[in-house]
Amino acid sequence: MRNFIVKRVLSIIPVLIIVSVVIFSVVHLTPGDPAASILGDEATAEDIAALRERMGLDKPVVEQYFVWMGNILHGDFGMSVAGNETVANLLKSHWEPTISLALFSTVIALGIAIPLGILAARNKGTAIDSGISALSLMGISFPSFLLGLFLMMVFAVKLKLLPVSGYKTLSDGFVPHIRSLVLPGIALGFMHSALLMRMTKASMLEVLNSDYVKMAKAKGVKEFLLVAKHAFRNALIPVITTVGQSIVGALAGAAVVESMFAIPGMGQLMVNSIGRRDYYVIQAIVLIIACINVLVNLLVDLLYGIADPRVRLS
Amino acid sequence: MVASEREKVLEVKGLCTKFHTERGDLKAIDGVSFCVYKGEILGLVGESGCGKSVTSQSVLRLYDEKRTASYEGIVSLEGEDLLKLSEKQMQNIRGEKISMVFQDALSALNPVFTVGSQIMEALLIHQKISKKEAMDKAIEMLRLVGIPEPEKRFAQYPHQLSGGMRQRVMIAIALACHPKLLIADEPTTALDVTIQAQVMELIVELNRKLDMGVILITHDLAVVAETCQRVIVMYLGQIVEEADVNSIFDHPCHPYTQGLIRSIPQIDGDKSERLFQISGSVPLLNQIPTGCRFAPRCPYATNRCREEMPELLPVSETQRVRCHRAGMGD
Repeated sequence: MRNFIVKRVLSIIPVLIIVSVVIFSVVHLTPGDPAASILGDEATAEDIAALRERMGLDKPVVEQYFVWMGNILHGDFGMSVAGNETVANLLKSHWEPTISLALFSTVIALGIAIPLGILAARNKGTAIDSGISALSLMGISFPSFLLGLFLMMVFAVKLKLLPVSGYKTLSDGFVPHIRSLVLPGIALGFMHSALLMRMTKASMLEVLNSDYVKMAKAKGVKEFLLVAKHAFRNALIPVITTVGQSIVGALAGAAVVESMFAIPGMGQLMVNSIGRRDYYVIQAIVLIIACINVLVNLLVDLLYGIADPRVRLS
Repeated sequence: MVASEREKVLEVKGLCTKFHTERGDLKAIDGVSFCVYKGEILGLVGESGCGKSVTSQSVLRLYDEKRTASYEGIVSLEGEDLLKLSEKQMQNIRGEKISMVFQDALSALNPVFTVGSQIMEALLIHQKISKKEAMDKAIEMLRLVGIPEPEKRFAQYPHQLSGGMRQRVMIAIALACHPKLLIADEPTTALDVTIQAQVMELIVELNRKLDMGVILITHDLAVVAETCQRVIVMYLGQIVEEADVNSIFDHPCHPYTQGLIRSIPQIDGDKSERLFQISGSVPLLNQIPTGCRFAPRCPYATNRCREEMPELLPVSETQRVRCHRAGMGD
């Protein structure tokens, strides 16, 4: 197991380097001069040249990359163009709501998907199965903002059970924190649960028809343990991958739900920064999301190794 | 024959298994009756799709009775009708009184549990023993089936063992609780020839040592000739011939059995002669002929065969045949 972990962890280093090069290149290859766009239309050629020098844009591209990378490794992501604040500070004040929301929505997605997926597989071809299929089709085709608006209207405006919008950090107390996340969490999680549900059902069906489940039955294993012990762990293996993808999807796709529920997260920061052409902020957010993606995939690989001895031991 | 005086372990009478499909119910086996004596190996042969596996899995009631299948008839294990038991009572029979060895051990062993835990599971379900005792017994079982270094193998996963060893592990699981009856469903088909012989030897040896009944499902007549005392030949969900192993090979009565035996390659046979094959193929379950089920492929078929289903009737003390021609003197 230790070898497996070390190998996996080492393998992410080249990936991170490539990711950083790509992000750096994309920003630097986009047409338009950041210095010119910062200073606006009325800037003189001298002003632009001076700013370019200050930003280091006059240096060779390769050198710029290493300077940029070096700074990032020291936690310096540069200055935001709009507000007079460092990018690092902006990120620090925006990361928490997004991570909370992504995790919470994933918990909701799993909470809906796993039991319903198993139920659908156990009752294949019955009304229960059709009902669950319809639900999952709805989840896939219903955009999250529409569901969000609907939830807001019913549970916040009409029933007044939950806050309409806004975000409470964990330091404001656990219950207010969760209450502020329920509606956006469901809006985001329902969509991801649809895919997870289908994965769980498909993989459960395959496993339930497998010889080892039949063999376990022939040994005298009880119906419940047949599903919960012999089938579930095997069925979970392909589902783990999808969970990883849906966490990343929730992180990257939180922007819409965040702005709808007025949650001051990274999604909102990114949308605002794109509007302001705040290159350093965009670069930093994309880099962070890419890194989280890589880390989540690493975690998925490790979980895979725990769940499936064939991965760990070969 | 001494066989009839011996104790019957299993007696199956008029067993029918129906599968509920979208196109209606299909009778996969139709009125199968046979018995297995204590300590004997009964061979069950026939082409793919003839109902060998369905018969054996129906004995254990492995099909999902809520949705997929329904059974009729009597399956009596030491006098107790298994088809009348509740699912919970049936769980106590499976693995304890009747065990099963499947064809492909790689897919029949659960990949995420160690070999040892899978043997222990069978013991812990049926016997009131501690984990430690179960572990000792599991290691003892591994030794019994001839696995070297059983303590080391105990902690390994199925994919870390060779094909022959996995098959031995499956036999160890099946025999852990010393069942009265072992059903071996093509236990050697997925193995290469040398390992096949070893696994068959193991089954024969354990059959003698533990004095249990064995149903050996196979399509390999050579294996039957070497290991079985009696043979049942199935065709399209029915038994077409039942006999002791000598009679089957010396004077097979049913044209289907004759065809099967003629299609065994002979090592000293004429090389210029083409290998015999039974013409045609097994009809689908929803296209079962009205008369004798083998009639469309039978070289001797008459109008009577095509219209009237023959009964399974004795031709000698140890041989029963389902054919109108039988007993008419060849």
